[in-house]
Amino acid sequence: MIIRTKSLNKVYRTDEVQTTALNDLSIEINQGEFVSIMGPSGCGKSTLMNILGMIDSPSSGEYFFMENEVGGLSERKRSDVRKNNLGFVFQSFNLIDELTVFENVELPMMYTKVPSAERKKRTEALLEEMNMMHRRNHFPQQLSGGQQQRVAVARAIVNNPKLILADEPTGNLDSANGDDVMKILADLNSKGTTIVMVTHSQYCAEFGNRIIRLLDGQVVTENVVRQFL
Amino acid sequence: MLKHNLRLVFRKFKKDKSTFLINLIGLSVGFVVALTIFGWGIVELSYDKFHTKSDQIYRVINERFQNGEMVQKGAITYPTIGPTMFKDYPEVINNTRISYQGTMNIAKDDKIIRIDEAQFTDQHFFEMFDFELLAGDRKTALSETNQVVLTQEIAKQLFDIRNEDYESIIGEFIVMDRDEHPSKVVGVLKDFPSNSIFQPTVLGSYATFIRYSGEGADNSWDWSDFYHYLELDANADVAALEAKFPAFSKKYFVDEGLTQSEEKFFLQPLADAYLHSSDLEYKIMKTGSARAVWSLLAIAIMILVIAWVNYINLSSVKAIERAKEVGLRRVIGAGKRQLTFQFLQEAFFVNVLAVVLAIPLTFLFQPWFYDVMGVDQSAAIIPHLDSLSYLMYGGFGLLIFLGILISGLYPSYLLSSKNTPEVLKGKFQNTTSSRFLRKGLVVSQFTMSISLIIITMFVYRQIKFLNQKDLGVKIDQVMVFNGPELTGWDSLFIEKMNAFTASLSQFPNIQSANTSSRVPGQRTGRIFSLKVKGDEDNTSFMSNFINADSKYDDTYDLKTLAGRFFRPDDSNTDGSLVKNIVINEAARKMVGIESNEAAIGQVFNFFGNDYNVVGVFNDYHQRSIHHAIEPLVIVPYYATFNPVSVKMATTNIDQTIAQVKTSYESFFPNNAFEYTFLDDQFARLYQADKNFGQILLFFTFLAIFVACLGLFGLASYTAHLRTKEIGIRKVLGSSVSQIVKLLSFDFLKLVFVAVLLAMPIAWYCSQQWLQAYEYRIPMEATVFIFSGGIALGIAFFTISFQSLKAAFGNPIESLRNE
Repeated sequence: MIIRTKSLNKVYRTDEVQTTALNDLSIEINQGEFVSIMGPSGCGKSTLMNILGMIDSPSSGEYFFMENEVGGLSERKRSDVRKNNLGFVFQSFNLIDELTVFENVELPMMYTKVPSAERKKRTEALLEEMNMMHRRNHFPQQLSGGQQQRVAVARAIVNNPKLILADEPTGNLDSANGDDVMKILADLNSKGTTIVMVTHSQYCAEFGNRIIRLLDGQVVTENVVRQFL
Repeated sequence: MLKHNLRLVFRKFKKDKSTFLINLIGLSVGFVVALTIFGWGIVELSYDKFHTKSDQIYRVINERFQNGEMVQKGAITYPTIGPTMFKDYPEVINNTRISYQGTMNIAKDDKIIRIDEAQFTDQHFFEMFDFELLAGDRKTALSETNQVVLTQEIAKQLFDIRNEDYESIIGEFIVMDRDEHPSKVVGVLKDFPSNSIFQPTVLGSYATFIRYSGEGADNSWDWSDFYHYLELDANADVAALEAKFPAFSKKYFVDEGLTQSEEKFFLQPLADAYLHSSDLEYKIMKTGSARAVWSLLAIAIMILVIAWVNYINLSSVKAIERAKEVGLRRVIGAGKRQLTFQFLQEAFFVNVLAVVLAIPLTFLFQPWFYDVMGVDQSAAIIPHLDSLSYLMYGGFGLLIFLGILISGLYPSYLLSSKNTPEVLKGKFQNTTSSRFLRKGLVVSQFTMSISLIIITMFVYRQIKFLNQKDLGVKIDQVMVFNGPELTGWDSLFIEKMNAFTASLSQFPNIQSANTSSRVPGQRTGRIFSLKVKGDEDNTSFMSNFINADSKYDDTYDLKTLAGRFFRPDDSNTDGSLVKNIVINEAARKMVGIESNEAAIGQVFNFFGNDYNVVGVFNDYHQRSIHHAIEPLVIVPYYATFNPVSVKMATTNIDQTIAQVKTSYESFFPNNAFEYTFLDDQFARLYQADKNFGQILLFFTFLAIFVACLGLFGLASYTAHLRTKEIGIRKVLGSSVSQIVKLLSFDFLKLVFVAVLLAMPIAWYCSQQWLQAYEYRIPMEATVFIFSGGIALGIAFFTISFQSLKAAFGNPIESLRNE
């Protein structure tokens, strides 16, 4: 089991309003699964992703990552777990504008202290794989959306994460580029990487093995798309 | 990672050139000013610390009180003080005394040169101070009568010295003034380092001075014209020694019996003599101003702080742009420490770049600064590095370190304290506290700048006041030249001098000519036991005195208020026959005579003689406006060394000078003719004030410039952030002026608050600065209002550039951009 949450709650408070984003939410995700999370806007998808990605913490409840409780960890420890085990793909790509394609992909390895030669080797291999090698010295704003997302995926997987969290990875792409990205994710999953993806698209969701549907911060249905092997 | 971060910094600078340039220019200006002032400050603080025994050497300070009031505080005192203290107190292990002679003529064969700063001292001078002798024996130099030590420069002027062979002139004889006994050259001194208060050109042996002036120069207890330096035992307790001085005064001065003054003595550390002597009178040595050093240092730090505040403010306002990057880095694994490090590196890089740029600029700026401050760059100055200079270097280093730390840490704190998911979604907004802080920082920058504007205005007004205040005498178009020192004094001298001045008055362009021991602007001698005949209390008074002939009042336009000024027959070559004096109104008031008329016929006693008061003249400023008008007595004595003043017309000046010179040379052959104009000489008395004012004005300009750079950056970014709002307002019908007002008002409010805060600060500082002047300008409200207006005007000009740009933009463009 890579992910297990128990009665997760997340409440946002402002002076006047209290919003419950996650309400007693419990899910389990096994190693090697490709889980798609769906639901209408405001149902808590992104909040759940942030908590699973350890960039936000729950108001209450427990979150076990690889059987270790991580919900209550300090920011520093969460950062350690995150950089060694997780990769992120965002709807808006979130590449750093001032860094080249090569540097963007290389960046996570700098934080995990991978030696320079090894970084170069791995970055080049991934860019080759993503068919982006010819663009290695370009800056993000010189690339198309599809190319940017391929770079973002390369960056997400460069540290060989156990889990990839993808937040609407095709949301800003046309269907052809979207398809490309989904194929890359499916391919990664087939090689053993666990993927949790938020999407509005039924088509994309079906690339996964299981679809979890949320409404008002709770799981309403879980459908198995393909038998988990 | 370092390489990666630097690359990133470089790309960011390239992308946002204006912010980069604002920071770089501001910080470079700050560093140029700081490097210059710290460098200068270290030299100013290094005076006379290079002597091995610097810590053990003290100067004797003498305060004199009469009728309960201090009448003089000076480094000048009686010739017996040093030797007696050496004899009486075991902790005093050596002493040297100096008699200052000022200008002298020295001659080798036919070559005569006129030198300034001639001094007489004894052999202990070389035992106590480390001045280097290039030739001669420092153990025996100046130990006997008729010995002289020359400085390198004077030696070269007087002798034909080849290959720096100064030994070749040891044992040669020179003539000092008209001394019939030639003096033997026993040493050649390397020119005095600039950072020493001692700058003599010739040192004669003290024994020679005793021979000239009589035994009183050695053993007098009432002739106060001498400077003493004591060397104390390394373990001596200075306070305990000073505590013994009241008993010393009681014993040797028999309370007030000897000098009619209460004599108090103190010790001033040699290292303090340069910067901490502004309250001492008769300071013949080189002096500086601790006040100038510390205030300029404070201003340099202020300018640097303003530049750092720009960095912090621009970083924090641009945090909105940086938020996404920082959030992302956190998601993919960057820890807080790594992010902080990245921001610190950015701050470090900009600061280092600014320092690199500042170093060559400092070399360009320094000569101008030194020139304005009157710092001599010719003689090599090696500042002695004592604990204070280390403290200053350390303090400067620490300041830069803190600047980098704070300017790097604040934006990192601002961003890393935010919630990552929000930041990633671009929901980052500056918090109320960060906005408040930013506003506070802008206010603080402008408070500093506006305070400087106000202070500078007061300084300038005071300098103008000094130059324009009525002195009570007319000094314009008065040429002053040296008296015929090399002409012998004889029974005909007065007649000869009168004939000379009368001959000058014959020239059509000369209105009057006279001779006097001092001219306005010069400090005078003092009488400490002036008594009024018939005074039942037999009170002693202190008065200044000068000697002058009967034309002094014509040349300087003095007004006789009662009685008369001198007639030629009031003077006599036989001093004992001089019986008449004139006094100023202040002297009349001091002795308690009720009216000017009542003073006529009164008999004053001083210097062991009785004198009749024949006239009372108006009070005038004998010294600069820095000083109060003091009682003054004029005695109609002549002397060969008394300078001559000539009041001339404004036309044909060169021709008139030539005529005077020819006449002088025919009356007094073989005397040098060196002239100055009195208004120039007077202006030099305010030179230090003027220099300070000029530097202050320049620094104020820099401070406001750097502060405005930051304001420009903030205004342009704010306008950029409000592009959409401006577009909507314009579509809805807002005018250009309404938009300019909208964008400018927020900033002008801050500057207005700064004006309010600056007023009391500037009031206090200006008040403190003006304290040093006896006559000063009032603290006028108009200066505050005008300065505030200037600041608001400059700020509005800075902001309006951006506001107008935004206001004139096409609203459709701005909406589309959004």
